[in-house]
Amino acid sequence: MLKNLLIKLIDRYNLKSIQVLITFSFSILIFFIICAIAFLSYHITGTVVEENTNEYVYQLVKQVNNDIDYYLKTVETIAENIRYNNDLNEYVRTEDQELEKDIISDLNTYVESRNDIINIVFISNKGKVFHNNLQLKLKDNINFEDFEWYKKAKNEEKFVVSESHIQRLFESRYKWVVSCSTLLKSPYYEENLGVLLVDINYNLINDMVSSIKLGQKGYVFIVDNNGDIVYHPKQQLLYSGLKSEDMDTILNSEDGTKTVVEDRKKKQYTITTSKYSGWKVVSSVYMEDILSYKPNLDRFFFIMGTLAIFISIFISVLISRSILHPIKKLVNTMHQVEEGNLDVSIDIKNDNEIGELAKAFNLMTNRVNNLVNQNKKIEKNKRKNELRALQAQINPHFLYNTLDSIIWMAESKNYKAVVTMTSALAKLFRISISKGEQYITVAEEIEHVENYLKIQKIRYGDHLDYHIDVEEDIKQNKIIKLIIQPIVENAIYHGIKNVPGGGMIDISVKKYDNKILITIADDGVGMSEQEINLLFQKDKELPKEKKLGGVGVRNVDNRIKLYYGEDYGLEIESEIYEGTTVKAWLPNISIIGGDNV
Amino acid sequence: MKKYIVPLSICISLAMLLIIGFDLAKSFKYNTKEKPVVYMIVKSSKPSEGFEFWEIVKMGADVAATELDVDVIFTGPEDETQVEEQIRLIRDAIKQKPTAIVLAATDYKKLREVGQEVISNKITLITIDSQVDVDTDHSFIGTDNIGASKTIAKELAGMIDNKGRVAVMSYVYGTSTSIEREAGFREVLKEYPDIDVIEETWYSNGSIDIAYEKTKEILKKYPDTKAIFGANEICIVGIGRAIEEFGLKDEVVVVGFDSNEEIVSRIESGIIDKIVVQKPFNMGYQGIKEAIKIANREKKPEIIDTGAVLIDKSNLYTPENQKLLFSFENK
Repeated sequence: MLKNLLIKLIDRYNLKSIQVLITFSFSILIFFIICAIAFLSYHITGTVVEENTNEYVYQLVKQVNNDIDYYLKTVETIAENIRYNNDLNEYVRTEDQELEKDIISDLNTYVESRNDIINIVFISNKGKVFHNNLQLKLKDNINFEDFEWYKKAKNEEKFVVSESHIQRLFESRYKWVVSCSTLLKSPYYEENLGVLLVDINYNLINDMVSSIKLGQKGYVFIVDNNGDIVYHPKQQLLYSGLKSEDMDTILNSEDGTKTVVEDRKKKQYTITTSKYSGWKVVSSVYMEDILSYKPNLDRFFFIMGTLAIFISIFISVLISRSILHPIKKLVNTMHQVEEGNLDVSIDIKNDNEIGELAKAFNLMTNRVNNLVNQNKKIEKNKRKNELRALQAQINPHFLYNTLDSIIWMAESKNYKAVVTMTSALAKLFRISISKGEQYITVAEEIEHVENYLKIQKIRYGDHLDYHIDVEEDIKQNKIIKLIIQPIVENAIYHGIKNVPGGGMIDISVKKYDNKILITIADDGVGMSEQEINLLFQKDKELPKEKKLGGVGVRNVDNRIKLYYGEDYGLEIESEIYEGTTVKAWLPNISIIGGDNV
Repeated sequence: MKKYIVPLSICISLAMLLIIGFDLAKSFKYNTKEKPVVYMIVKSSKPSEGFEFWEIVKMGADVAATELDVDVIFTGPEDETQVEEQIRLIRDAIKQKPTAIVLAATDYKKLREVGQEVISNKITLITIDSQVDVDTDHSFIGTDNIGASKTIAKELAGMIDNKGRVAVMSYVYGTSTSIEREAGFREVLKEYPDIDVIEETWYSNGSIDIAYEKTKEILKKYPDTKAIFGANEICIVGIGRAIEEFGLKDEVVVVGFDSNEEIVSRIESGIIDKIVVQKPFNMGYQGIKEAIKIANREKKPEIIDTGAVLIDKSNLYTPENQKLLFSFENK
């Protein structure tokens, strides 16, 4: 369900970006966790508050009950004291009129010493009535048998506590009292003395109980064991039927808390029963009063919840941003690379996986970039060198000089030499063009250089000598063309030409392990170490006077390296006035697939 | 971290706003839910000795006030003849803009104007015990005075064997209760051919002494009076004192409304024969409850009969009647 809803939401609002997803799901998750925690703790605290309140109320009510018991016991003590009163005992036996005054003053002592006792009345078993206050006039024609307190005390022969009522023994005096009565038995002889009545001021109980506040509306009331009300703050309402208490529940329940429903509102009775008087002190507390502690908690949880939700949203935004911001950057850069811009790098310094990803990406683009650049450079060099090779073959100087020599020989009618030179020149050009092929056989390469040397030999005469030695079984191996001629040209112009006695060029092509070694050695003026180094220094312009030859040699070296790799190329050994040996290393490949090395 | 300062501060300030808003809303809620104030303006707030009726009304009102969490301001003129003073008190109360005014009107007609003022100020008007002559519907909580006086009249007829002269003493001329009680009483006795109800009505004007004097006047003027009807507590007390003084307890039947300790004592001694006891506690209690209910528009105004009980020597001390007859406040 939830998942479906989530998917719908995501579809509708295009919330598919991971950032939104992370923020959203994090917040929902945290929200639900907080709700659950708040709900639980709210309920737990609620229950705890309720339990504590119940316990508190129970203790309170129990205390009231104990106080009342204690109080009633003190009243019973008075009754006990009066039982031992000598005057009284004496009077009942002798009916001595002179004792009457003493008895009344004895009774009055108790009333005077305590302001909670309203009257003490003693009705002797012969019907004589004593009461403590002589100012009050007992009503005429009183039949004590009409009074519950009298009947009960006499019949049940124990200490009896009445419900609250108006004491109507006296004229013009109507006091709310609780009557305690008991049948007095003489401690000295086997006879009942009579019934003693002690009226307690009802206000005392009223004060004891009515001062107890239980929430806004809660109250405490007292019923006796018949369900008659001893004290109730709303007694008038009870009698008018405007209010009722669930007496069945109260009378039939054990001590403790009972929940009842009144006017659709829940309320709780907390009942305690006195073992002494049989009274039940009951508190009535409305649930809404107990729960009124809760709003504070409501607010607390609300504030905590709101804070937590905002913090959670913030943190999830933070997390998703810290993850996704670099990823976005990465994606953008990748797009750039896709469009061909390799000169990019990502500035992410995080130490996490994404940082590593970015680092790897940077490294990769860098390498690709280098390779591409290198490739471009190689291609460029290839073209440049080919052009130069071409240029070298048709060196106009050489052609001009040769043609000049031919003319000169023709004029001197040396026709044989003219034929040799012209045919050599033709062969030279045929091979160097070689139908545009880059690769030619070793034999052809040798033929090419031989023709060149033939031409030069005619021009230089005894000044130049040469010798070529080629191993037979590699003659058909293919190599890139025009390697030897530029070196030979160099040897002639820079080595032998300036030697007064002329020189010798020795060319050999040999197999050497898997390589072909072409050696071009002359015994000319040689080169210094510095000059050799200059020859190989890339991208550096050579001194002007060395340019022509230098370029030729370097070009050869470059071409070998371009076509075969760095393992191959030229080596130059030279000693001043001794001569120079150039070694060209080439791979020994019998069949070459084509131009695409 | 710098770039998170903005969203962080937005989040925090939003949270703060929400909390503050919630607090404000809460305090507003409390403000509007301030304790409602109800004025209870009765006929007599400083009752003379033995005149307990309004004290018991106040007790009932206090119980309702705690139950409903309402502030009740209890007030009234010194005695029930001071109509002008009561009008002034009502006007003062209107100025305080209470939720409701619970009124026991000293005069049915004279309080008409001020009663209308209460209603036009959008204050809920409830009457207890005695009504007031206003146009708008309002709740009345009190004794069905006509019904109760009819009942006591019938009882009286039986006690004097349906014949003889009967005198009527009322309290303040113009109060709705006094009008109703007298009317109900006279109406029933008209139907007894041998009973002669004296045309004249005597008024105690809220004073026991006057009631006592007027009784003597009646007895002198009509020595053959068989029965006297006292329309309220003060009348009955005054009548009782006079009858006792003349030793006429066996000759003259005394009936009436309301009780106090003195009346109870005279019932016991046979001077006063039968009284109708109202339920002032209920008037106070239900008056406040009704005021709140009407103010909250929970119900429509209605007339609520709090009921009355006939009391004579035989049922003085039943538990229910003890509560009605004797208040707890006799310390």
